[in-house]
Amino acid sequence: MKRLLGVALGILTAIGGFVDIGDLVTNAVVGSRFGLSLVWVVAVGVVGICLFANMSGRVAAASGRATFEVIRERLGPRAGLANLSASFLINLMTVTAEIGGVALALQLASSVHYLLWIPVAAVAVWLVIWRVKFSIMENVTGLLGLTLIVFAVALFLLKPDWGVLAGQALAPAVPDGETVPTYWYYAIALFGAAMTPYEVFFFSSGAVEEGWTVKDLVQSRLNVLVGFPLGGLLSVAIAGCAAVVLLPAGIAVTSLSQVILPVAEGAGKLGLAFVLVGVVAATFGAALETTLSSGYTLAQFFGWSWGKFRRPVQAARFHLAMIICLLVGLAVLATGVDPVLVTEYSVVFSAIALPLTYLPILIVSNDPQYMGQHVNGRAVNVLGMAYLVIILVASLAAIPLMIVTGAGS
Amino acid sequence: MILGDLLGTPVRDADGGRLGRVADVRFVLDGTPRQLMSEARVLGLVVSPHSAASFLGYERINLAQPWPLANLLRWRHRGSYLVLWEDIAMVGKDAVRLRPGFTRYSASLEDGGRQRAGDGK
Amino acid sequence: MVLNTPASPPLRGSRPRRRLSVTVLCAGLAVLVVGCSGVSGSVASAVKDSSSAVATARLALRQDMEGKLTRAATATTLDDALREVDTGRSTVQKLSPATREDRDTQRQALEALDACAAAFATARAAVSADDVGSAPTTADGDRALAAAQDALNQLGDKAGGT
Repeated sequence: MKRLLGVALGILTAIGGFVDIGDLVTNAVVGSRFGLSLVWVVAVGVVGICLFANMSGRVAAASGRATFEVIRERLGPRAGLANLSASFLINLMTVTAEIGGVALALQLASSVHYLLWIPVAAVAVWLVIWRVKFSIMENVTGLLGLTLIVFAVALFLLKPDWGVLAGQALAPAVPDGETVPTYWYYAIALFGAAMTPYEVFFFSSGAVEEGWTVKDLVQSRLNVLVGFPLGGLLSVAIAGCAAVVLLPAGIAVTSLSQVILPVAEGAGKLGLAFVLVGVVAATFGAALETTLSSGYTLAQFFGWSWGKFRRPVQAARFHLAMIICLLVGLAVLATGVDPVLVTEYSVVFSAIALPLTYLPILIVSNDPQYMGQHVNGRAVNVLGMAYLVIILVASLAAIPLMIVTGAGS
Repeated sequence: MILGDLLGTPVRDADGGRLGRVADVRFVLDGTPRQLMSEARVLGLVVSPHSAASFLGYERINLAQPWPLANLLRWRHRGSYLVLWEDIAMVGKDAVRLRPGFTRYSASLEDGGRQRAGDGK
Repeated sequence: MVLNTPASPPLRGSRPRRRLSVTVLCAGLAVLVVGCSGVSGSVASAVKDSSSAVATARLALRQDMEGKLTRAATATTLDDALREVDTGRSTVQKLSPATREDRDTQRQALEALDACAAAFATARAAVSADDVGSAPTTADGDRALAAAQDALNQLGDKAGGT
């Protein structure tokens, strides 16, 4: 019974933890401009994140060490540094975007300007990282993030023409008024949002924090294989809501306030309350995860002691690095740059950096010296190589498309 | 000098002809026994004619998965070999020069890299 | 320490050529980007963004009247939308049209966008004022926004036609 509860809890937090500001904004933007014609990208992205999160969880469980540590040791400082700089910069951008997202959601709830909420959000993130136990932190934000299911509820309450939606999803076409390069630019953005590299690093470091062993592999696999696809469905519901309410009204999403309007339309003030709690929880949870990921990657590269399972005084550099990351994020947001814009760029840059993140994971998870008998199977390797090609193409196409489309405008 | 600076340095034979670049430095653990492990000793340099980038671990011949990657990396490092430290005449800032009549040993590692490098060609 | 450094071999020709092709590529892309953003192009995109913002504001106001949106959310949505209109307006303002036709386009766009901003002011005042006094009602705000939306649509049709 207790084990079953653990499994359920793991799956639920995986669902709630899947969606972050990148998924929220990108799916709503795409839904409001392209309907459901890019849903296939979410599907491709979810399969990819399942594949690589699983690999990275397996590395952590089999070797007892976080993926990035193994990458640094196994591939050497040069490859490790390429990996570190790419993922760290993206991570920093994502931290900034998530904190901005928390502040924007709090503004929607309170009408107090979001710039005033930003320091509050950052201090809250720091306090939780400093004081709260890892498992409590993960479970609370994950479960509260589940209230985002209200997007799916609202979609049903809106009574859309399901045939039209299914048609958009199953026979994808570029809608009138949008160009082919813009379509592909957003395809890459959506892919980057679904496959955000921090999730994989966080997943493996989290496995070490919670002391996983090979025995926990079944549960971790369940969490990923059930939780992430359901999280992906949530993403689709966000896009669906935007496609049903915003697209016909000629509204292209550029702010978080537009993302929640369809929920209010379908589910009224109660729905609004749920969605605001969900957005705050999801972005706050992701802010915690990305901040921790910054600390994890830096500490694991330079060989500092790290982890929330240690007292902060025993992992001083790890905690200091995270404080500095939060301050950098604060400084960026204090310039008044639109957090939604930061989000849109962060998902595209994530896509650009993906090969540097995922290639090493694929290599490490094939190494019997670390993995013993738990090396990748043939099917996983075939899929992994296929994804490596997709990731490489997306990464190479991202910058030219960004220039040609003027970043999707 | 810092060992990392040596990576990528051009390698020349005794007549100044270009052989390739330093791709790796090979160590053996056969020095004085210490608490954790024996002291490391530099065995030699791995010279790669086509690429000075890392082998990413695929110098170990029992590692063949995923095969497109393994083959790609092996192909990038085709013709690479190990030169023993005794065969190196001079380590300079801009080049490593080998002694005349140096021996090319196989750069691949057997048994997960725990054994001494192979017998050469 | 180094006694005799052998002369380094001449670089192969591939690198400068690669740099050249990158330059050509960038130049081509730059031309493409600049070509798409003349006066009429900028005006069209500003009008498009603003009409999306006005549509957002109208949706929010309607939801507010139907009791689906809290005042805080409505106010925030209006502020976000107004910011979008202001951005469009300042882009159009900064244009330096060369021909008379372009100057006319700019003037018409600015008139429409000013009307938008005024309508937003009405709507915002209606949302911030709780008591029914001299302040405009939400319905007034919606009417003003509807008029602004019509003006933008006409402009958009015209810009799309040319």
